[in-house]
Amino acid sequence: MESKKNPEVESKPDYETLDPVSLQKKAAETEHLLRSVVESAPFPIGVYTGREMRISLANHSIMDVWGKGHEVIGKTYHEVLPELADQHIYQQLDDVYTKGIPFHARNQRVDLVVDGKLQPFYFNYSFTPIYNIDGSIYGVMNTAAEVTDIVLAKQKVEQSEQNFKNMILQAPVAMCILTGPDHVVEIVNDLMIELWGKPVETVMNKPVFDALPDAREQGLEALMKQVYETGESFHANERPVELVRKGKLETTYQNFVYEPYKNAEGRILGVLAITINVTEQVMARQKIEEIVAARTKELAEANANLERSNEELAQFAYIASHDLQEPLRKVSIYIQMLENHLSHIDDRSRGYFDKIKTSSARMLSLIRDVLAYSQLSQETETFEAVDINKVIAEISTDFELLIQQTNATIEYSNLPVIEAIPLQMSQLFGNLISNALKFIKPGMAPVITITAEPANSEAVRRLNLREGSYYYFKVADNGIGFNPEKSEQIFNIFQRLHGKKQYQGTGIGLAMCRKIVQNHHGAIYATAEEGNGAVFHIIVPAAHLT
Amino acid sequence: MAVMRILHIDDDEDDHEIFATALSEASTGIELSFIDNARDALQNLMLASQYPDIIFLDLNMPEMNGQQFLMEIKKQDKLKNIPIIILSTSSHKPTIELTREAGAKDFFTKPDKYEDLVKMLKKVLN
Repeated sequence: MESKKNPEVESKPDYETLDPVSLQKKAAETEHLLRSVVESAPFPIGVYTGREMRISLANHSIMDVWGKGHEVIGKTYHEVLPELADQHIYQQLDDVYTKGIPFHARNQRVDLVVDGKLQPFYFNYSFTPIYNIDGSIYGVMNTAAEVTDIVLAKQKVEQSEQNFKNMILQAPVAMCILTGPDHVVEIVNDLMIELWGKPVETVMNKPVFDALPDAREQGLEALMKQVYETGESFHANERPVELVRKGKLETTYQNFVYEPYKNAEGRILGVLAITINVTEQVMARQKIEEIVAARTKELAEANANLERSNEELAQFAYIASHDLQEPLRKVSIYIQMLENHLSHIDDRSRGYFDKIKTSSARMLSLIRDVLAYSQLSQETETFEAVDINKVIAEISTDFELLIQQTNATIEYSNLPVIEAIPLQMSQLFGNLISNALKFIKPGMAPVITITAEPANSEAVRRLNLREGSYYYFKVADNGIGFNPEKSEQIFNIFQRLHGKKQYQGTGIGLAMCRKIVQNHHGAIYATAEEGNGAVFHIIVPAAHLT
Repeated sequence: MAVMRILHIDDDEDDHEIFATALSEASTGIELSFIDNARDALQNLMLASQYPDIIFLDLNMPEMNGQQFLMEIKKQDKLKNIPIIILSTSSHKPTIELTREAGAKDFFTKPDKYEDLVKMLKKVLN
């Protein structure tokens, strides 16, 4: 194939006016100048001559790119860079040489063996034909600029953008990117499309609030505008948003974030919107709240009914026992008056009189205990500081005679002062001491021990008591005790474990004790061994719990 | 010994009978009068020329209760110095306290035993 003539070579230097020596000198100078320009150029330059592309000139820069030294001069391009065999480059060079048309490539990947390893590089390069003095092509000049770093960086940015886009598209929550002051939908995932309830083609690349005018009316555009202008993100929690979805107006609840979307320089390009549709959760919670409210109301009503019925019962017990008491008192007195009035009473009649008197006395004490029980309440009573030492001392005085008769001792010291209903504290400890003096072992002097200490919080929790500071009292005796299986039963009203002849009583005392302790928001229980004494445990607040 | 005039105000006639019997056993030289209505008792006393030496007063009565009667008596200069002793079925401490504040001389719960009533009257009158 013939080398083409260079059309640009028109004016030729006036070589005829120079003598051969001068000409030779001139040529040598020109070549030297050319070589030094090429050598010092800061970008790769190579000159390959003949169709075999023999390297006649290669500057440092091109040798660095190839990863080779001066040994390349005089070798063919193919010999030096065999790795380019199937990268079209030989063909490009040959085309330039044979056709005379320069070849330019931009950001072209070229794989070169450098440090013994084939590696990718990127170049902007040119192959340009070089002409003889007669205008025929004798070689190709190769100039290049390595752009590997720039291209790799660009690829990285593109990859990162793609990753970001994929992340949005694949995210398990509704996401979109809205760009510019009109919030044009640039990227949107399926979940967001689903939430909007509009076909994707009606929103894509359009200002979002044109597509969703109802969202605009609810102030969302103003919010987004603010984020776009100020760069401050906005968070909404369970915000009700009404949307026309698939032609139907629906109230949805959304948690969403509007986050400014910025470029590398920090300029705001748009807004990244992330939305979680929490409608179902909110609805479910609202439903639960409604049910809880309804149940609470029902419970409050039931409680009020129960309270009313308790009050009525207490009222009934009070009236019934109060009114029962009167005629019975008269029966009791008249029978005594009758006995006094009769001049002679035989033994049999006296026995009958005694039975009537005993029965009416017992009936009266029953009625009075019921009356006392029904009057136990905490609402009408005032809580005061009560010194339990004094309470026990007073009870000891009340029972003086019985204590003497039974040779009993009541041991106590350093009992606390608590905030309580004074009368009820007397009734509580009075009933317990009365029991301890009643249920004694024959031939054994009763010993009653009363102790107190601050209750530990574990016990308070176990007994389901309210939070607060409590005292733990123990009233222990050395009497007959009781069967531990009956330790709860004994607190029931009218519950008796013994015959009336054996031990007197109405069976109300411990029921009263429990009610008193409950009035004070405390707890009472008993432990015992049959025949080995009983212990009553009382946990009551140090101060009144309102 | 001068006769002691006692007025017993109680709406319950049985209680009056019991009171009168016990009183006769407890003391002598007593002139006992009885009225079953505190309002009438007050009216009578306002018009009376002679006053009782002691009044025994029930509390729970219709029309005018013992507490109201007590307070009215204490407003009248002529009557306020008559000693008034409450004899009621109540043993309610606040009720007792109220009558003391209103000027009652003493308070007794109607006893269950006849002997206790006689003992109480002997103590009050002697």
